[in-house]
Amino acid sequence: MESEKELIAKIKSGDSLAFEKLITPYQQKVYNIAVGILCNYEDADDAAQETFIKVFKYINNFSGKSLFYTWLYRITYNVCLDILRKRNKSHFGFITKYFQNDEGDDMELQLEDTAPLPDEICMTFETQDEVRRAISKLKEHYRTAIVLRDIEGLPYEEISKILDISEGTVKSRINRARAQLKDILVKDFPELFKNYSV
Amino acid sequence: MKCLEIREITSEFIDGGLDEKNSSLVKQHISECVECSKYYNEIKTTVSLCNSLKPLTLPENFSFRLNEKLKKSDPWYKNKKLYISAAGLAASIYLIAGPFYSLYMNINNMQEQPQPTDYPQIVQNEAAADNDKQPAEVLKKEEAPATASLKEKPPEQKKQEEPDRILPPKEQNSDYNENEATLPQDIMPEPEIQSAPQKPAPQATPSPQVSMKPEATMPPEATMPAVIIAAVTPAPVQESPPEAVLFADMDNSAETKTAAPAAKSSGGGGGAAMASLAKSEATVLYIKNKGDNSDFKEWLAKNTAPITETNSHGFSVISLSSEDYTKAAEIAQKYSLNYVITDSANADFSAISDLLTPGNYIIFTN
Repeated sequence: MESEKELIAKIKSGDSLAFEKLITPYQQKVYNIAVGILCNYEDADDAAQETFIKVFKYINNFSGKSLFYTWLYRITYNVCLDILRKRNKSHFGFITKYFQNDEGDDMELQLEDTAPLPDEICMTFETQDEVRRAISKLKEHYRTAIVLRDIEGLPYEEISKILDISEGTVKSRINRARAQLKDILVKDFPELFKNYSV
Repeated sequence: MKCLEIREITSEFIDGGLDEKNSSLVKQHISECVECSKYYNEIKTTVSLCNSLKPLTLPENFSFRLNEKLKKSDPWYKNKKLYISAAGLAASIYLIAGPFYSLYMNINNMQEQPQPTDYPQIVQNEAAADNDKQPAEVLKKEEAPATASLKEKPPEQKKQEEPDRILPPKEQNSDYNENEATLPQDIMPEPEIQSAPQKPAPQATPSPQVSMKPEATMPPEATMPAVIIAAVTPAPVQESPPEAVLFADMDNSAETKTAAPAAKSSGGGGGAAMASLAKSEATVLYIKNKGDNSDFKEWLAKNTAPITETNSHGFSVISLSSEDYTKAAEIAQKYSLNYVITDSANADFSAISDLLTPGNYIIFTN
């Protein structure tokens, strides 16, 4: 199994098959991050494709001083921001429509069945859908913080590099994002929190 | 600690990021305060809900569509290995035939041909972009119609290869080189670039990206003549600085001498680049050098406006001390800068080279 470093060296010497090996494990992650930020499947598809095209184009400029995924997710984030700017919306209100298809029908979330669920919470597909909708109601920077930290599980340090903000800002952003998301979820899904009612 | 203070660090407490002292404080507080205990548990549930989200599957044919796009943007994608082997074979043939060919050319047209002694060196060092160009030039004279058709890109291909926000509106002139104009300058160059020669001659010294990209100018179905050796060799480690490209096509613009005569640039093209930027809608980060750059600053003061939170578009400049490159990256990101300028010939961007992203360029004006 070749390391990422070896694959990147091969790509730089012109081996495009190595590029495929390098990006395959990241395709789904990049797509999921894009869905989380953009709240729209088609745009996320475009963003993910655009991200990998940029990675291929500029891989020669990757010097290896940061982790590859940090560089990759940073490009993903910037591509998503470009798309958001084009939409001319800095944040979304109730974003339900972005999870709808052209006819206005709710799109079925394409969930994988393989990932095991934690013991304490067993979410139905409907609950998953609603949690995503709740996240989509957050402002972009809070949404991104939740996506990178609580969905992708990235450490503060890497989030700080991806978003190009200090770790302190990352912490406070995650804190506020969680507090806002909690308020939305408590309102929409009180049953999930009933054990903690005073 | 008050409830509000506890709630400020509850999230970090859940992530296990607090030190022992603060961690104990939070534990103690939530065991005594009913409201904060509820808040803590609700945040914890929220985090668990997010942790439990299953990943979405990729859209249909994602990889296939990506491959198709990559092939379209770079016709040699997936065929590079094959072409590299072919190039190796061509290089071998050239190694044997080169001196004879050179001799032949020398006899026929001594005044117009490069020195024949160059050829063996070219073959031995395929990765050197400077040398790669020379056999192409030699053959171009012999096979002008054929090579001209190869160099001509279909219009739609040109459009796809043009990266977003790469260059300001370009000056049209007969010397304009399409390949150079669309170089991906929006990613930071490698540290080695910083020590590259300051006075490049773009026509004679192609930039590294040019040496990587000519493959895109060749239709995939075209047969590969020996002159394409340069196109398939890996990018040389030593690259020309970005100014070699940007300034090259600015040098002939009419504004060069009038708009920014004071701009400091040993290459003579900095003023032209500045003039071009002044007309574009670019946001510029200027990292100033410690040395005397009063004339350059004077020009900046006249032609630029200070950047603000709400004015992140247009030709604006932030000045920074040359040491503060991390801050530079932060600002570049915050304001979506299109250009980063330094007049420091020895600027070391290596610390932030992976952080600067598409859309941010470096221009050396010294």
